[in-house]
Amino acid sequence: MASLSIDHVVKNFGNVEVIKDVSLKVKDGEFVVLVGPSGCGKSTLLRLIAGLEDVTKGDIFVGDENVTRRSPAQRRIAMVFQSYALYPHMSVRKNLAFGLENLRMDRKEINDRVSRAADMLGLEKLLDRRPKALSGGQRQRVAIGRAIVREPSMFLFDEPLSNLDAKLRVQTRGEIIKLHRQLKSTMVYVTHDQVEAMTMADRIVVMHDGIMEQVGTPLELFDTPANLFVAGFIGSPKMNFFDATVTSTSGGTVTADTTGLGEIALPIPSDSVKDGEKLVIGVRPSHTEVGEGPFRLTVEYQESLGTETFIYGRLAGVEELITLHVQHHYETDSGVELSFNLPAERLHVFRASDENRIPTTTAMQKGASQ
Amino acid sequence: MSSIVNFLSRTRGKNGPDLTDWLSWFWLLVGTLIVAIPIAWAAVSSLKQPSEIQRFPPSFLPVAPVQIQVEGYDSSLGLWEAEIDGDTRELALIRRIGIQAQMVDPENPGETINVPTSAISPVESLSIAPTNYTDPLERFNFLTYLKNSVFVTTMATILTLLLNSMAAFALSKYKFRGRNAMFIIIISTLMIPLSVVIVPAFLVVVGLNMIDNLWGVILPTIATPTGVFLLRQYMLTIPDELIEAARIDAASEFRIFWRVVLPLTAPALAVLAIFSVIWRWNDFLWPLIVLIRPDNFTLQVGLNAFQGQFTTQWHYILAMTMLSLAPVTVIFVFLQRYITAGIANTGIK
Amino acid sequence: MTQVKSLLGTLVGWLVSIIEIPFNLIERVIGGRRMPWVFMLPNLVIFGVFTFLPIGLLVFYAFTGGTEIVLTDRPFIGLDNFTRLFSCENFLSPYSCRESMFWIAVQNTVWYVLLTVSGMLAVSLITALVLDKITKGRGFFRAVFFYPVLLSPVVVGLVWRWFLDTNGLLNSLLVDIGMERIIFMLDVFWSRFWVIGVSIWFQMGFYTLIILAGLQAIPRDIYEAAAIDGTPRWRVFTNITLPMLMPNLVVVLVLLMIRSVQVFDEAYVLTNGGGPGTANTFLVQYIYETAFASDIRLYGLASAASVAMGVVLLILTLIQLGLAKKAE
Repeated sequence: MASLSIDHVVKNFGNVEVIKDVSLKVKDGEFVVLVGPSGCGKSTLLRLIAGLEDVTKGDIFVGDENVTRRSPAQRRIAMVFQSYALYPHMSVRKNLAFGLENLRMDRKEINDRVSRAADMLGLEKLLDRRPKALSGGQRQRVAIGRAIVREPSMFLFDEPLSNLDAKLRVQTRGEIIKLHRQLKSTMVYVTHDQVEAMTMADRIVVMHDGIMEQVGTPLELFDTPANLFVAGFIGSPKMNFFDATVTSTSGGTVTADTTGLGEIALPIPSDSVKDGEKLVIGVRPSHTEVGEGPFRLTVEYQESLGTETFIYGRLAGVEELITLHVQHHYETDSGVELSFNLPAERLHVFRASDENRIPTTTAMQKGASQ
Repeated sequence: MSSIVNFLSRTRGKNGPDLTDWLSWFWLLVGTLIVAIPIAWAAVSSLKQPSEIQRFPPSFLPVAPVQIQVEGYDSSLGLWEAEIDGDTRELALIRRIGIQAQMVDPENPGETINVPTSAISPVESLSIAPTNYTDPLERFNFLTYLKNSVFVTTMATILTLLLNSMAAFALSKYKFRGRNAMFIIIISTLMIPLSVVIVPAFLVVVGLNMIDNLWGVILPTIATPTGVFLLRQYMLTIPDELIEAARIDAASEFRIFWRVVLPLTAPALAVLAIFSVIWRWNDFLWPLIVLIRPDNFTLQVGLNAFQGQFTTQWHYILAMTMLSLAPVTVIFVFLQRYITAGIANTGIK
Repeated sequence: MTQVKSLLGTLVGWLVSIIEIPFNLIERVIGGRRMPWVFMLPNLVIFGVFTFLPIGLLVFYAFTGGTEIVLTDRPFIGLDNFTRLFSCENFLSPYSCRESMFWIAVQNTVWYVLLTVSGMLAVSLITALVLDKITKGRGFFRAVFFYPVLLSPVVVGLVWRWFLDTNGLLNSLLVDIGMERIIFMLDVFWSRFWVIGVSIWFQMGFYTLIILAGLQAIPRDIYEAAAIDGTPRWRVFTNITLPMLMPNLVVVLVLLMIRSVQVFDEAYVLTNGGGPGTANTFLVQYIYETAFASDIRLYGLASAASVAMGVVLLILTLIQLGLAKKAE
């Protein structure tokens, strides 16, 4: 068991800087998910932690120990790969035992650990099979088993669920969460799937272009995204964005002329913006109220999921589609004009210049996360 | 011309055989005969009695005239078929006097019969001479040649597999500065055939004190660009994540090589092993230069020396030729699919 | 196959357990990142000692004289070896040259290369086209034609010498059809004819295989499209098959030339040392005999001839690379 500390780490591939001065502390026993679009550097960061790549600058600590120059083996970490990377020419038993044999552990201890791990993951009957003879889910469990037997100070997961079908993915997600509770180990988990990140993480690190955009609990990220990128990345369907210009900051309220919506009041302190400043306003589809309200939407198409409905359409004079959400089945048709409302306390406001969030007034923020 | 081209450019799937099909099959059949007949001829000849091998016109099969013992005659006599008054009888030939042959009936040795030589022909039966094979192994040095060839082939193949797979592993599974340059340097040795550097290579072997030593034959052959290339191409298909997983599993680089990469390269190693065995078994020019005392000759060099020395002993020469051809043939019969696939895939022999 | 695998496995495992310890020690000292160099080292040493070092030495040899093999005992004589090789009154008439054997060998080699390359190309191309066309027995015939490739040159030389012997099968067939016996290997024309014929017999299976692989890589739907368009067969051959096969044929052609220039083993055995007279003495035999098989071992002269041959081979290789690039 150990904590992890990443201190001003930079990684270059040739002239390309893929990790740009990243620092992160992971507490002992914490489940941290690195999430971001492909090419954001999350996998590279994980491989730096594992020691599969050398850092260009900065240090990595496991516990109190600086492991920056240590080999993967010396870091006492275990890793589950996207492709599982099971040794195809070895039986499941050999796969589990290989790492322990390399450590020159005695035979009895190896057998004990292998059977304990097999027991824990329900692999007892598969021990003498080759990976080729296993299903995707079984292979995934062997890969996890190979990590467990090492009794590592930390687990690293590199998109371990992306090769499973949707149903198995949900199930395995649950199993990994259970495993974390059982082992109480530090886990760092990489995924591009924000649903996985939201459901599994104690804390999420959103990465983009080699930097950390935001670090926080799933709800912090959902309710108070630090910038436009995080706002757009977390949450499904994607947050709706509207360009706006501040028209007035007088009288304690800020109003802005918003493309497609007209003049609206914003939930931000009046001293945080200047007249004429460019803003971006965001609102999640699930926070829109369809039926009544000052705004008009021309429906393009809808997706009915039975229990809920997503409606896609256009505002007058806006090219981009926006998404509305209804909590039940809702019948409409393309070309129909709908009225809707955007509750002011659910609006997210970002500065267009640096794309950062402008903190909302505290009164309005309360209870926004239900 | 255009009819030949027509024939050549035919594609498959027409109704019934036409002229081009017949021509194709004719070509293949004649080709097969041309490939098979010289070898078959050497093979059957290698079984013939020494007295029969130079007979002209030859018989295709290994046959020899039948010799029998007849009561009252000290040496054995040849058995002949004689036509007497329309009857064909088998008689033993005692001697020829002019155009008359004096013969005797083995059943009735007391009486001699005179028959015109034009009416008799020898009785022949299948007669195989295994001594063609056993003599050279016992009386000449062939057992030593065979042992030397087996030693050279085995050691060279093991070392080839080991060295080439290590180099291929470094070139396919590591990123390091100079990797591409190294690969190009190794592949460029393909362009430097032995026949060009044969004189200085000889000096090097002299300098290493390996003249007239089987290691002088083995060592220069064990680093083959073809082998490195073939194994590297195969190893590139092994996922890098496996190597990383092993590294996390605390395996040393060498253990990664032999416990993870090498077992997964087995099919390519098998192909290279087959090639290496055939190359080393057949090598001629280099051993011819390096080996001096007959005790150190490989089979090919020994065979060449023997045929130069005993040009008339074709029964021995052919038997030893067949002995040298046998292992390659066995390998070919069992593994030809891997060999042809290996060549078609790499384009290098 | 599994047996071969397990046998290999045991052999390799046994060897490896001996060398694992030093490798692991080295890794501990120099670190894992530098290990690829350690893995390449044995190979590089062998290449260095037996390929690259000799290339360097070759030049030294070519510029020194005498009969000593040890370099320091050899006097520097500048271009004398090359002058000796290339002093000719008329380059087309070997006997006007100071080193007439060399020029006889060059002339023999040039003719051999021209005839063998064209013959081999024709035979292999036809065989490959036929094998590509037939639907049954392709594997069998491919194997039959390939078999001689695996034989040793000595075996090939002896098998054919016996077949062509005065008392051999071919002469008996000639007599059967009412002709005179021919002593093939004592006749200049026939011995050359058979040297080329045997070379083609020996190696055609290899080139057939490469051409066949190229033919089979041509997508079948191109032929089907041509058939639907009603393209005549010879146009299909000249406009589709041949152009698509070109890169392959270029490889075959250059490979063939490079190998033919180095003809030695099977011709040497078949003709019992390059005879009759010098009718089948080729370049490599000249080098071999000048350096190793004569009483006065002229290593310098042989090296100079090797350099000349190496230059020719280099040019052929460069042509191949150029053509390969062009084909891309």
